[in-house]
Amino acid sequence: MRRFLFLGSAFLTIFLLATLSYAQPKPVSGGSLTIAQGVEPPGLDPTTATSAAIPRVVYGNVLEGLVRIDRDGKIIPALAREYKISKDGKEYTFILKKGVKFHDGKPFDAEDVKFTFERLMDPKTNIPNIKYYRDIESVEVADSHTVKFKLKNINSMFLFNLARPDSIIINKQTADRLKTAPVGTGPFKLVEWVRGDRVILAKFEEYHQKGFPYLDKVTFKFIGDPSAQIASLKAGDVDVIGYDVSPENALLLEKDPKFKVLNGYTTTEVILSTNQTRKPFDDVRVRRAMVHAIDRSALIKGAMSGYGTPIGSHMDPGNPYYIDLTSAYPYNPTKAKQLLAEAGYPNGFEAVIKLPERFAYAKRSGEIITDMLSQVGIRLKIELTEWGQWIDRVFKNADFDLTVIGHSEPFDIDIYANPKYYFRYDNPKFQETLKKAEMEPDPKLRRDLYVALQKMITEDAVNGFLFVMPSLPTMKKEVMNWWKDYPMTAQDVMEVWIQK
Amino acid sequence: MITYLLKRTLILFLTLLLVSIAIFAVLMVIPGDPAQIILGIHATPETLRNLRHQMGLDRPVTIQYLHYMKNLALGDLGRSITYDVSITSLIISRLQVTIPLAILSLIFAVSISIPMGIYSSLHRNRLGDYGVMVFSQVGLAVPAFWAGILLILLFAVTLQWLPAGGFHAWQTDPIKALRSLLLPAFSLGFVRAAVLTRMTRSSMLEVLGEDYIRTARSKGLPKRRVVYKHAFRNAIIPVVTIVGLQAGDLLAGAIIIENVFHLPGVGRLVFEAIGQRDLPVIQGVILLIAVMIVVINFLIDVLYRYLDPRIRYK
Repeated sequence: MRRFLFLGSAFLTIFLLATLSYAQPKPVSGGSLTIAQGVEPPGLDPTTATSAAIPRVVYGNVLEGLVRIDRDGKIIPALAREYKISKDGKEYTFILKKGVKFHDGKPFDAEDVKFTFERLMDPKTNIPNIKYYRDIESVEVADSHTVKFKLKNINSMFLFNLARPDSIIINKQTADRLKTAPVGTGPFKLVEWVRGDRVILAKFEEYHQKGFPYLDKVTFKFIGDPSAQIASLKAGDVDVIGYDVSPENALLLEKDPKFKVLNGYTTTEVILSTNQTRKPFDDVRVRRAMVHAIDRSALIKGAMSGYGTPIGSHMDPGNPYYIDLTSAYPYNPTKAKQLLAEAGYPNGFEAVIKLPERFAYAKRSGEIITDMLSQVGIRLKIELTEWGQWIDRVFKNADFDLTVIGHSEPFDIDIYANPKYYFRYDNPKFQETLKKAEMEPDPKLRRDLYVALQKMITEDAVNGFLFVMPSLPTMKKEVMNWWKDYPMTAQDVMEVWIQK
Repeated sequence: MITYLLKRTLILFLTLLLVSIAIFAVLMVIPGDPAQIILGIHATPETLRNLRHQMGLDRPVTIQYLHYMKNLALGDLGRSITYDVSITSLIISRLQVTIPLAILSLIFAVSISIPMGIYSSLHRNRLGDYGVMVFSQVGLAVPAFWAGILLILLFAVTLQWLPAGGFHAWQTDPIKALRSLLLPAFSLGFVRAAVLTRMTRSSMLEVLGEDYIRTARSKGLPKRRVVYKHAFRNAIIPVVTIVGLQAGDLLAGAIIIENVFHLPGVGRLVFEAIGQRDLPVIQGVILLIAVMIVVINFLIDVLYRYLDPRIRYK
């Protein structure tokens, strides 16, 4: 008996060891990968247009910055080997990697960095996010592989901004091709963009990180219709759907042994945006009442098949400064009614919720919220709005009461400091604190300030903070090492490989 | 015939002029600013102003229109805002998908519907006729995109005979290109076939009841000859009218089906251009549609004359 036990445990150990080594198989080089993407990029230049479809093709694959965001949301060096920050926090010195080449063969050096940022800072370039570079006073070339950035004032977001797709390094010779045929330093070079159909990338043999990438060829296929994406995946025409798999499809594919679904975070906070200047939403009691009336977990179940993480403020859980504020206003319809009565609306009120018709998550969430709010007497009328109209009416002219929308920009709590932003939140204390936070060199104190900022907007119940969109990349089970969380807008396939 | 041709050409140009004015006016009125869509929701007013200026969107509408018409007269449709390539080349490359798709779907539609229509008219109120009618009822009720999805499920996902979508260029592999058009052409053709089958059947029934058919039969002509030579040729004229109308409708169908099968055709081009407010592309494609409809109608008129020599144009 004892011998059997011994043998049994020996087998068990061998089995466990075997599965353990099986669980971490060695990456294999070669093969090609086809990724389905819903929206085709309007041009391939991530600096002059903000469509998320652009970085999802080129960022990290074709084009790289000085630093980048890793899988855990931390800033790590990319084209810079290392960086130093001066004591006063106003000077950043980047030591660049040597032996890096652009896809056109040109060696990468400090002049390219200088050119890149001077182009971004030039108002004639018309870049939408010029605010990221507003604090740069000068970019100096110290030697061929050292660059010094002098800032006008301390900006704690500076490094993070350099890790955004807007800050990719290009060279002067090919800058005018950025929109149609970008030349970068990334692990893949652009082969062809068949407009309306696909972008083809091929392995860049002279890539500066030895051993990478694993794949020989990557194709981004633009398939707008979600059910056509799923059909293509099932038919074997595509290998991965990186973004925007609908929750109910994820649920089905998760059960299919041929596929796997990764359930991680994105940086998209879905919120019930509330126009602070319209009655009765200018009253904080009304806004708090609305949050009390929304059952987030039921909402996530109903609208997202249970995928997605509830949030209590405008920050995603992948952010290093995130704190969980979901318990600030627990689901409590009685409390909500009481608050409404206090605000002078014992019988509730009527309002319009404009839902962007293009986004299923927004439509469904809006419908469920309409139902939940009706339980406490708030009667919403749903208006489905075409996207171009939504941008014009809701976003530009703040012509709305309520809307549901996902804010995908990473680390965008600063939108609450802009009183002209469409939900029109104007709180001088918030604006001051944000300024302080952005200028605070000490990481601990900075964290405290960002925590205070999150609490402030929760306290004011500016918007209904609902959930963070799940990432849900869905793929054939042979596709390995895909990013589970999306802390930055990208589909970085450098480390992805295919199991034979 | 020559005066007729001249008249048609004049009508073509007048139609195009009206279409161009209408489309310009509509695009000016609907909300949504192309510069805003490019720069996204965080752009500063200053950057927006600069880009609008660069794109010429800050000029008065009439000036924009005249400028556009001037270029159009020189054969220049302008450049796409999103793709940054000339619209003429963009449309030509997309027509390589849409025109074969349209032709193929018409072939499917005609080759299914005419024999079925004739068959059911000859077997009126019998089992075969009911079968055909059920088929056409289903075809009328099923929208093309849904038929497309079902076809993908059967032929691409389950049987894996044909691709689920996408397109291979004719230049690299014509067989693959044809294969990728089969399912979308069939789903478009299926719906059209339903209409045409009913049309052929009723038109045939009408003609078969005419006196001259009875005369032909009673003088001993074989049934086959009566059906094809006497009845069918007369019955086909209303069917050809419908085919012509459907051909004009091709692009509308293509918008949906090209999205379901993610084919890079003209339909998908205009669909995406609307989302991106790529105004020059929208204008270009709509003008093209207008030209196509006028030209197809003209061809149909010529065809009438061939089918029925009694028809004359003055």
